[in-house]
Amino acid sequence: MEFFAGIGRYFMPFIAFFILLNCAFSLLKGNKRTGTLGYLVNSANGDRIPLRGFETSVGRSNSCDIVLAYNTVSRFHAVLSKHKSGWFVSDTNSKTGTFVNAEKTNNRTKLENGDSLVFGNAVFRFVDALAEQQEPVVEPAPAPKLYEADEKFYTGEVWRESESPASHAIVNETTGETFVLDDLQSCLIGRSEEAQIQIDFPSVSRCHALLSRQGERWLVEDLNSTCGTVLNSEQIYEVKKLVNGDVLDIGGITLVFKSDKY
Amino acid sequence: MTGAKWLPTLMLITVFQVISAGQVVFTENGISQRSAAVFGTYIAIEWVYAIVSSIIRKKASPALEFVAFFLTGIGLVIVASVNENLLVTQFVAFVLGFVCFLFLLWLISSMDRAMFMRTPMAIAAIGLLIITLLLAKNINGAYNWISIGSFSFQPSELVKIAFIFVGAAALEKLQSTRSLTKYIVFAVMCIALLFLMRDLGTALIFFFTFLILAFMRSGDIRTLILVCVAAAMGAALIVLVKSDYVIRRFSIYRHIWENMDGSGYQQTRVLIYSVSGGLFGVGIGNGKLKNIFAATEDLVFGVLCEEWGIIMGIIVILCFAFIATHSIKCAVGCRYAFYTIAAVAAGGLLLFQASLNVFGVTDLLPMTGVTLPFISRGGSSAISCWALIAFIKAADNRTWLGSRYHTEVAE
Repeated sequence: MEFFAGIGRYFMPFIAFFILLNCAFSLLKGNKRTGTLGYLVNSANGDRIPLRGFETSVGRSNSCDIVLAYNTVSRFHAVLSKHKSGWFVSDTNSKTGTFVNAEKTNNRTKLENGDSLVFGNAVFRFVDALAEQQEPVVEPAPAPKLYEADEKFYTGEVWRESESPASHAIVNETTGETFVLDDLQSCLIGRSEEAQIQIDFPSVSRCHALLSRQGERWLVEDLNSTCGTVLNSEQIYEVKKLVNGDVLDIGGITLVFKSDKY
Repeated sequence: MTGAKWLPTLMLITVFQVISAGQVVFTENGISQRSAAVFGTYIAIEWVYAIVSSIIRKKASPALEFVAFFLTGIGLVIVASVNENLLVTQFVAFVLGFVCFLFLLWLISSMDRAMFMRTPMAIAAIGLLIITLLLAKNINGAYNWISIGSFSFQPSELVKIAFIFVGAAALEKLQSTRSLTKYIVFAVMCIALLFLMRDLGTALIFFFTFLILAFMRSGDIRTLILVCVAAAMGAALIVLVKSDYVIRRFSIYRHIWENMDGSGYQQTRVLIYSVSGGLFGVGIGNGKLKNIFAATEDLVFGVLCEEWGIIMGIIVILCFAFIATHSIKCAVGCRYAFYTIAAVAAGGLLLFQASLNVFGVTDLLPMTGVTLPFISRGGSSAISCWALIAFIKAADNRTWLGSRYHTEVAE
């Protein structure tokens, strides 16, 4: 008793201190960063969005890991997760659905390297970083990147308004062609040879739709076309304002409106 | 602390526990065989666990369990020095808690299993609280104990485990309105039932944990401000309706010295005797605070400061701070969102409960009568603390290397 009490009182705090010190190093270490485990390649512009982590949420909301600013994407659209048996995608009750290789998914669905993945109207190709290292997939040359701003959107950073005048363009999803609108006051879309954006496709009317500039904004209106103009899955009957990422369906041809400001 | 690096730490812990336990085992009346057996078994459990886990999980770091073992050891010695008859009960509670820890770790190792268990857990938790409210007798002003024969326990402690288990969800379900609504209903029911039991301290802990869970689920600080405003309004309403009860409860706060032999008795004695302990304490078993009511439960921090010294007191507080920091560090790069949410909530809960206890007895906050995790005597408390550690352990990716349910970490 005497021995333990006499020595103990003075030794114990020091021993306790060293125990805490030893454990603290290990406790403060935490998890290692996982690095990039895969990519989503945006078919519209060739952007490679890295998947950093075992679970990645995709949606329009800012609290998602990958923010897709398309109106056709739900706020919390889907979750990509890496398990021991591979990569999976689960739709999280999105309105427009998630499609793997053009098939709608309801439950957790396995993803293979190179699978096509559609959230609403946004088309991606899934790349598994591990599989890609082993057998690199030959990618079609990506279309030139339009604006630096696009990148910011995908990485979830805050969009800052640029000082320079706004720049706008129309991207044809089907052919990958880009049409810059900057020097125009209006732009006709149709099969006619007079159209600035000429689409030689049977279901496109000769004068199908008109884009017009109002200040720094661009507006779209349907010109009584046969098949109608669909903006973000809704047919339009009046003049509508366009924002970045808006998807126009012109008689089956998908055009995406790109803007670095709106 | 991987590989065999845990060995020196465990040796230090063993030396520490032998010195501290030695002071209660070797008494003036000879050797206390019961204490010797309990502490011998306790140290043996530590070694067996460390060796087995270093074989099974080669790359896992046992630092978290070591801190818990260290704290539990201090608690056992304090119980033995104050009332040796309670030592065996407390030790059995630790063993149960340790089994709970291992079981919970196994349960959540498979995400499908964990998701399947959430609904039964929620129903069991609410059921347990309702039964408590119906059966409980008034003990120290609260109706939060269930007694079956000579065996009694505090269900609200066990509900803490379910509260976090149900609160965390897989990323797929996290944002769905149905899942959120269900969880909010569950949380409000839990907190309301605790209020009805007049277990204000635990209700406060649950509310704090709810805030962490809500933030982890939504990542939205504005919603939390709304929740806090709503809670403040609710609290104001309760004060208006039951003013005498609340006023009686909090009137002593910041006025302990005016009632030092009345309602401020416990806090003033904690402060007086902690001072007499000085840096190194008066020696285990030599203190005076142990004769005061609830010395090994609510006032255990005072006993620690008096008999073991303020340095030990600070080290114990740092332990809780490190546990909470560890949970946050592990939240990044975690395998499942479920682990991240549960770990941060569990770490926050332990830290918040420790702060309520320490600040309560030192009159920096109103005394709410919650236990100091791991150290206070109390079976239900020991079980819940050890079970909560499992959530933090699960968030550490090193735990799962080589597990059949989990992906390998890309290093």
